[in-house]
Amino acid sequence: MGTSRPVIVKRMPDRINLQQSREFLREVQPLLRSDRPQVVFDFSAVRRMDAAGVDMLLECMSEVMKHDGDLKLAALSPQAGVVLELTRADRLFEVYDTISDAVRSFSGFLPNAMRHYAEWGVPAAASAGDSSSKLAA
Amino acid sequence: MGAMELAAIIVVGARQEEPEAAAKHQPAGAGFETFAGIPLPLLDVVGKSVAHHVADRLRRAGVEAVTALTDDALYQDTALRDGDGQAACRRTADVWRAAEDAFSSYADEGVDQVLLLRLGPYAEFELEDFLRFHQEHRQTATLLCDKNGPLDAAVVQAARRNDAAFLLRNGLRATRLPSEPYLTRAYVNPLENAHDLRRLAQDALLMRCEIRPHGRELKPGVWVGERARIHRSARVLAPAFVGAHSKLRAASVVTRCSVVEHHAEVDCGTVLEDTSILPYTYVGTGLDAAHAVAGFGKICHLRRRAEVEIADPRLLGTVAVSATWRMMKNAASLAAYLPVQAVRGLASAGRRTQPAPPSPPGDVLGSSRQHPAELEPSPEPLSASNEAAQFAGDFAVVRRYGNE
Repeated sequence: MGTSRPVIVKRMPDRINLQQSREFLREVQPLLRSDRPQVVFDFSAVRRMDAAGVDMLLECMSEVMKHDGDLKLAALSPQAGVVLELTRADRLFEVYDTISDAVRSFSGFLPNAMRHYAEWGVPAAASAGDSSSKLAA
Repeated sequence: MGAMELAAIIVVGARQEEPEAAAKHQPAGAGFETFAGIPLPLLDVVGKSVAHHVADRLRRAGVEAVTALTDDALYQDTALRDGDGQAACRRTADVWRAAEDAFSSYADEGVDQVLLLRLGPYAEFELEDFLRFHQEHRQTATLLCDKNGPLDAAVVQAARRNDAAFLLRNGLRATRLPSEPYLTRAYVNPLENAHDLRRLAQDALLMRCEIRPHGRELKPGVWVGERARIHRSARVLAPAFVGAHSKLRAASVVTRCSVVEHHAEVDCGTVLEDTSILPYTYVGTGLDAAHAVAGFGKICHLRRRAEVEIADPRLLGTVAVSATWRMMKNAASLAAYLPVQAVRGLASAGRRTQPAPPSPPGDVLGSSRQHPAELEPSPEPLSASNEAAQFAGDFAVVRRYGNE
């Protein structure tokens, strides 16, 4: 099932320190405060990231959740990946290898776990009820 | 073996060309045979640098004269010294030239044979067997090899200075005259990247090689160096090594062959899993370092195959090398910490309340039954069972590391 709401892809700066984080947050705040925002942060250009960057991501996440939206991360550079894993922040976000994967993930209704069931040929109705199976079809 | 029959010259680093095969396996952003720009043999593995382990092993095998040379400028930094403050290597401007000079001086002293080693690869070959092979084949120089090729080591007759010079100028990979190499089947670690350094630490903890942790075995599989400080709530799960003067703060966890080298600090709640923390490294609060080698402001993630610089000292910092400076920093942080805690204590004293126990049926004023002693916080640290008892029955307490 598709969604009519747009998915916004935002490219992260190559350096995410305290100052850059503040600027970035100021820049994206209107997006995050829109109705049910669907946002993807593109990390492919990130070359350096510190704890302030992780704080900023958590702040963005909390803002998005307040407005019933979702924030996903895509194309993590090794630097960003290592910092997110080190700070355990990677467990809080859905992370995708490519931006298109992340964008596509918004178009399905089912969460990832349920989608796997559908891929394996297990009838979704068995686990998610009749309404879910209709949507998955 | 009589005294001064055999001498050894160890050259650390100094490999000019990187083999193509090795380049494919290098982590992104990492140098060949280096971590954070430092030659891997100068980095610590379970308490001592690899160069130090090799020198000790040679001495145990009866080699009394060992000269270790490196051209790495960073070695002058005392952070690279071993835990007991002893420098393992002498720094020179031209290491191969210095090795030739050292060879000549050994020859002048009447040494019969000289063992030349480049680290590089770490090999636990049988020295006596190697020398016997060299003598039986009546060669001027014999190379040490394993199934994958030369191990950058050779034994040379001290009288054959030209052969030694040729060997040293060819990086200990070719002899001047044709000779049969000695093939070893012993433990070999190529030490080409941080992955190999990590594997060497694992092999030492799992007794797969001859390297033994430099510390006291407090319980089976857990070695602790002298003056290491481990908080009572920190957990060290075997096999693991905690180096001399290192600190594990509250609720930190060291598990799965993790190694904390000397003077390193692991802050509260941080989990180290299959990780080596290099000397004088501070690891921040509440982190989760897994499958990594961290130190000198860099972390190499072994699964992601990436060496990344961490500029944020809250995540990965450096501990001061000077003991005086460390003491001053600790005193300053304590001076900053105490007033904050005093203010917090005063502010919370008025608000301190305890949730009321469930009232028995019919008891409307249940909270008035509380005994005054129950309002005092427990001086004992919470055990896992106490923590579990604090939650309602529909909460699950997940067991992840030990009883955490």
